Amino acid sequence: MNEKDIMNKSKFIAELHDIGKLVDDSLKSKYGIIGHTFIDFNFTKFGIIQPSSPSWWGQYHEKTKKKNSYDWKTEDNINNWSKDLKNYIKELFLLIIADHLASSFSRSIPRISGASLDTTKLDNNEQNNILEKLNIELDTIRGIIKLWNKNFYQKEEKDGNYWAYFKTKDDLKNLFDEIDGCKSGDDFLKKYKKNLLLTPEDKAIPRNITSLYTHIMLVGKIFRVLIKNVPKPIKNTDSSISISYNRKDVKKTIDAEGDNFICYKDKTGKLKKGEIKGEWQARFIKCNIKVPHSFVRLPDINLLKKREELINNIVVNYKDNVLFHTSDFIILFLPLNVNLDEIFKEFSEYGFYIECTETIADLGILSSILDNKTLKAREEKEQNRVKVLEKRNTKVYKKILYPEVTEEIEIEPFICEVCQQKKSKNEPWIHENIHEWICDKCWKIRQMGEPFREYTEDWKDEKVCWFKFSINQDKLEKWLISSFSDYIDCVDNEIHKIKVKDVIKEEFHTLSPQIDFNYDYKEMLKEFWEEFKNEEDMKKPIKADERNNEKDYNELGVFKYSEELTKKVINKFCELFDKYFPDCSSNDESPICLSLSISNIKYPIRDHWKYFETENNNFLNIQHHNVFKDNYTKEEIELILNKIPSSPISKSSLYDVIETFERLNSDFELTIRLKEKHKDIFELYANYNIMPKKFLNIFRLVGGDREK
Amino acid sequence: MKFIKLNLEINSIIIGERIKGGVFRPCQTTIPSSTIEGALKHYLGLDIKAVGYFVEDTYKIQELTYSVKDKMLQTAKMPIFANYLAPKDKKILADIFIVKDNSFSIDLFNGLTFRMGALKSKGFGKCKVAEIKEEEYQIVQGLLKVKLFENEAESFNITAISPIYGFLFRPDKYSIGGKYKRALFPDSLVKAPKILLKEKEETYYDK
Repeated sequence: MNEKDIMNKSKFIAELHDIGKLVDDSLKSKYGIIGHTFIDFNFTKFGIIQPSSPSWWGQYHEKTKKKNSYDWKTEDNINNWSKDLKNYIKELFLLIIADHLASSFSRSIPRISGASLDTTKLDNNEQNNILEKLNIELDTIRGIIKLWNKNFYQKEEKDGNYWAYFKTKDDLKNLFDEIDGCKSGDDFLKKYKKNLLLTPEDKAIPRNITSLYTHIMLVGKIFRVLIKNVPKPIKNTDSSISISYNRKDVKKTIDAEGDNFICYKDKTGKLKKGEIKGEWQARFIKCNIKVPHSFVRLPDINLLKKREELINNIVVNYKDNVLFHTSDFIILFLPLNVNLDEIFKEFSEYGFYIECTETIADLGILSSILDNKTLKAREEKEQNRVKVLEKRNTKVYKKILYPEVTEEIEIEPFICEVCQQKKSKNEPWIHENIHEWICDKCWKIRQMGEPFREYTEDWKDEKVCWFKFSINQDKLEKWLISSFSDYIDCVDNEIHKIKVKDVIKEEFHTLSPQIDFNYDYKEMLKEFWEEFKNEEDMKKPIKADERNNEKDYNELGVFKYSEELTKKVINKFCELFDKYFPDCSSNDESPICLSLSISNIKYPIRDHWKYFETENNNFLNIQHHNVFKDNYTKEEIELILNKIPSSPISKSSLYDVIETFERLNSDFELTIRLKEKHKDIFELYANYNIMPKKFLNIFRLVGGDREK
Repeated sequence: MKFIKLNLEINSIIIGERIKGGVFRPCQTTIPSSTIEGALKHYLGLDIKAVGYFVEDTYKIQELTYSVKDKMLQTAKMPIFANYLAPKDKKILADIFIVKDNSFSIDLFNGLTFRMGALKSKGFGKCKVAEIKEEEYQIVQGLLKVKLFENEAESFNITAISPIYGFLFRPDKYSIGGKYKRALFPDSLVKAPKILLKEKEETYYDK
């Protein structure tokens, strides 16, 4: 058996299907490559050996019919596909479906004419016009355009990075060797990560907003979920073959998927209804992991470590079903027969509950926003849409996976004081003469020990500041939808007409940009902690166990309160936000926020946590126990912090002004008094409507010592 | 579904969360069925099914420090920090929904004043019925806003679709003991009278 034969025994790797999207345009034109697949590439002419591994057949995933009538296309009945494919019909069939599904998760469909602008067909003037509108200084449109960081690709190019990986003839040979020799999808994603993150999944506007990395990762996952649930092709009595999933046999992709839209008005204003029902259905589930526990003592926050550990278990055991996850949110793609309770069983045992929104639909219409679209159609009684959805048996459930709870509990033993759900142990946890009744699981969590020594030893009697970064996935979805709509308006004008604009806006699917956004969020947190890694007075309470391949929980931190450190933390957050999310909202619409909660060290951690969970509404939220509670947009906090170094302030006089304003509620009075005594604060009030109280709160937090 | 709706006026009140532990006592912003039913039983001697919540924007949460006295030793124990609700403006307002029953008359609540919640001896929890109405509410699907015993849900015409559970204390008939009983908690997906739902909003999930 020669090397090539050994390679041929390798697996069908779905991730390789779009490898051609990493080929530079100049190389493509030199070798006459059209599109991003190589089924028509003349291997003999260029003296390159054609790949022959199973993955090679993935190149046929977008095969169209040539003029010759004997040819075939992927939409045809599988029995009419080329005989060369006979060993890989199932794989190619499922790859096509996975590719459609991943694309529909990632961008605007339906695939209708006039819905996009092919950037390769735009001349330089046209391209410049669009780039100018987007405030990007490149000469042509290339690379990904992240909605929250439109200049991302431009900055990468300035740093010497470029989207294409394959730029020379030798590279082309390497590409074909990769198709034959690649060992796994993970290897492929790892090797080409940098380029895959710079390259959009589809270069046409407005689809160029999601990374090829995320698209390929999704295709790989969906493909493997499907292939696990699809047996070998079935031979029918008429000697034709069918592909069966969930006991539904089909011969064409359209039969499996159904129409890939619900209903929309086309460019002539005619209502199109996607009434063709698909035979194959699957589930898309958004899972929010809730912590009903009340953290009484510091070791109780080990529960967050347990949460990381349990999420890690799910990611390992259901690797392909987990499309993406954060520390408290998971998106699952599941076939109909998988038990959701089983997946989250361990979470329930530890008292977490999971709030799920589950959508069941034909593969042709299943997407990350189908839940909201279906609920909206029902609420607004959009009869056409509701009828199509009902006809296609679309369901949206809200499920709460809750630990088993007994009907009643006697007074003794008590209900666990931490999880509030289970009977406590018969003996109390005794500390400093206080008896606490907790259940065996919460006891175990507590026994995991103090997350860090300083809190109870060195920092005794000090003031501390707990802080937490959060990302709100609902807000993120909303922000992406509105930002995509702005993007469409920005690139659409008299020259570049995007037809059916409203349909594209309405049909925008957020999942892939959401994944890319979350990826950047994690990078931002990593960089934040890198900055403070030598800061003795700052701790990350939940550290990963590297032996279990876990990652640190980077959202939560605590430091011994000082004005300088507080200021440094806020400034660093603003700086990193500017770096990773310069085009994202930074007010109460911001999907990302930082919350600070300052108190004496004895103030219960539960209440810091409660604050983080409930009042994270603005870009920056601050609770200074028994002093103030306030929130700030990025603009507000930056303006205030900029004024503080130059503002020697009499706090008592400012108090007086604020008190008078609150008593009289008179803008006139406020204006006069500020103008007289506090010029800087007056400027903030007059020009930016920042109330003096907001200034005073921050002043006391970060610069209160410089009294006039 | 028809309820008797009471509007209460309150100066300050503590309805403690069951969560304790340590020396901090948080308070809640709903009026669980266990609390209001206990209060009505104490003042009227009747088993009345009721539940409620405080009207948003009429209260703020404040903190009180106190110390329980050990009468034997004549010393104060460790100080306790308790949250309480104080009026944002003049009075805290609360809405109570009572299941109509032939065993009592609506006039019973006319001008009624009673105490509810914790630290009554320190002046907390005085409630005055300011208005009584009989109102009919549509039954729709939504997220529950109140806390009530699971076995009383049917009386309120509440059907749980996807419940979130917790426990409420049900005293025995002598009020010297009792049990924690399973209860439906806020954010449970239910079919219920609209007035008992969060934001009074209808949802459209499949069942």
